[in-house]
Amino acid sequence: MDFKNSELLRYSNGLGDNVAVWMHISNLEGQVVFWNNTAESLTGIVQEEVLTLEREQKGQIWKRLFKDEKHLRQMVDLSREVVESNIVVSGLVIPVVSVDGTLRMISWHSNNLKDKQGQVIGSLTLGLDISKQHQAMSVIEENKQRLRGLALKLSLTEEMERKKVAMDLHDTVSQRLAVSRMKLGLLNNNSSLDDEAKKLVKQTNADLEKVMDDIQRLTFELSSPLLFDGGMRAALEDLAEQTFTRHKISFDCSEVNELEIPDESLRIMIYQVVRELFNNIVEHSGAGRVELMLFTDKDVASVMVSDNGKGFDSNMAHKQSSQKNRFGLFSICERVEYLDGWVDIQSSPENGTSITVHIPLVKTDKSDV
Amino acid sequence: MSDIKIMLVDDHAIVRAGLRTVIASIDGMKVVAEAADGLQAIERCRKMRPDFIIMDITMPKMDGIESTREILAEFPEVKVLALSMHSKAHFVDNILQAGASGYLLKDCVMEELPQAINEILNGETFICSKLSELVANGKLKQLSPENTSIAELSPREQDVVKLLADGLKTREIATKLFISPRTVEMHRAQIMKKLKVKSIAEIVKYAIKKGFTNLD
Repeated sequence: MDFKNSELLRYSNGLGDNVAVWMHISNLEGQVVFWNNTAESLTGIVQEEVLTLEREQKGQIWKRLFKDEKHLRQMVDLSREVVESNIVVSGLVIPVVSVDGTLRMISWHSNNLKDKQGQVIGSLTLGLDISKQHQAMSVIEENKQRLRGLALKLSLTEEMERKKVAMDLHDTVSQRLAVSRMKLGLLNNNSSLDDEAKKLVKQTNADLEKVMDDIQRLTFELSSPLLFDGGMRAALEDLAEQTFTRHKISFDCSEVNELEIPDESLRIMIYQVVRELFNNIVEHSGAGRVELMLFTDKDVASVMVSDNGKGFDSNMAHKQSSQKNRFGLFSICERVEYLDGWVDIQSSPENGTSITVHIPLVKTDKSDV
Repeated sequence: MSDIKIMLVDDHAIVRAGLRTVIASIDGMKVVAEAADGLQAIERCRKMRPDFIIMDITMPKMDGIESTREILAEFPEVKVLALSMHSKAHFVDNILQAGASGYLLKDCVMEELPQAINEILNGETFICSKLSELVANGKLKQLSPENTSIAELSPREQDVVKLLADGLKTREIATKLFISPRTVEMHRAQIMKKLKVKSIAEIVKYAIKKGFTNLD
């Protein structure tokens, strides 16, 4: 045994003490026999103490450093598997709590050590302190979340603004035009008018009718009243009609069940996502048919949009997402992820595309971005 | 014969004023009440007992659909004509379902209001000519017979059919296709709808018939 341990220590040979990486060596039984300077400074436990502890009972040191049962087991398993299964562990992150209570994120790398005959005699484990990177990553992730939240808020604000303009148009211009047409009609019925004047009234009336139609169309394009008054399915069906009819794309909308999505901002958000998907289809897919399916239960709202267009390699979808042609998909995924939802992208060249968005209805509190 | 008593319900005063002028020009009709929202309409209806109500749809407090439903529950003999800017099927369907006897676009008032009132009082249902045109052109989908063209199963739906026929469960299919179980459920619902079947067994039967599955 002692011979084997000294054999093991041959590996450290002064090297271990001079690197800024945690390094320890365990023997076949899992007993720690070497503990370098960096390990000492990261844990606050010196080699002598480690070796004494380990002589009393192997694995003792880990109980000191891993207060969490799960982490402790991970660490013990790590050295065992390395010697037993001849595997190399690389980049496994297990946090360590040092003696002074500092929590450090350590990225572990471990491989076995063999003697001259090629027999496994122990394991060498390196630990890289990635606490700083980890912290930076979580700041980045936090900022990303915040940006996603802001983008979402912005698009909600945009939709509300559109609604306001549309309602203003509807309430003022359209109503007044309708009344003007009524009055022109009355004038036309007036028997004291000569034929020339009647003709002019009639023409004006017809012109006004056209203006009303145009405004009506613009109002709808600006903001669908169905989104706010008619429910999700009616709004999406109407959107499909507006988008696809003029491109001669046939479509079908259906619903698994008739539950309504309770939250207005969620309805708006799903409407926007579907609008984006529809635009993608019109612009890129060359599809002749589109199918939309809604499925809302008490936990999740889902919408599936399928087309029979030219499709794309869905494995590449995320890599290409920042490119122009898939930017829509990228922004959809971002928005949905922010809401703790998920997107299933199914597509392959020549086989059409099916994109399904799921958003949980149970709110997590992210309102304070 | 006494005049037909009409109530105008619209949140836009200017529209009510316009309608009043138009109705004043029609013999045998008289505006007896006006209301600016659905709640007020119910209240005024109880007080003034109109024979005929011209009802806007989108209004604050209570919309015309709800108001029509409540008024007709209390006064079933009253006739309601919906008057709106909206030519969307959703609104037409809903207010007719609530019991309105007709639908007139604000655009068509001058030409068709007298006719609409008369036809409705004669017990008929009235849809203004512009809407009828939309129906005829297939632009008002829900009013026209349902789109019956049967869509083919997409390649993705065929994948799901095959896996269902091989006896895989939702979760297993999801893993195999790298999608979530819920997406599988939605594919399944779409498949059932397209094949007009109600059970997995029937999907399997279809798969066998189509040779989608090996029976080994």
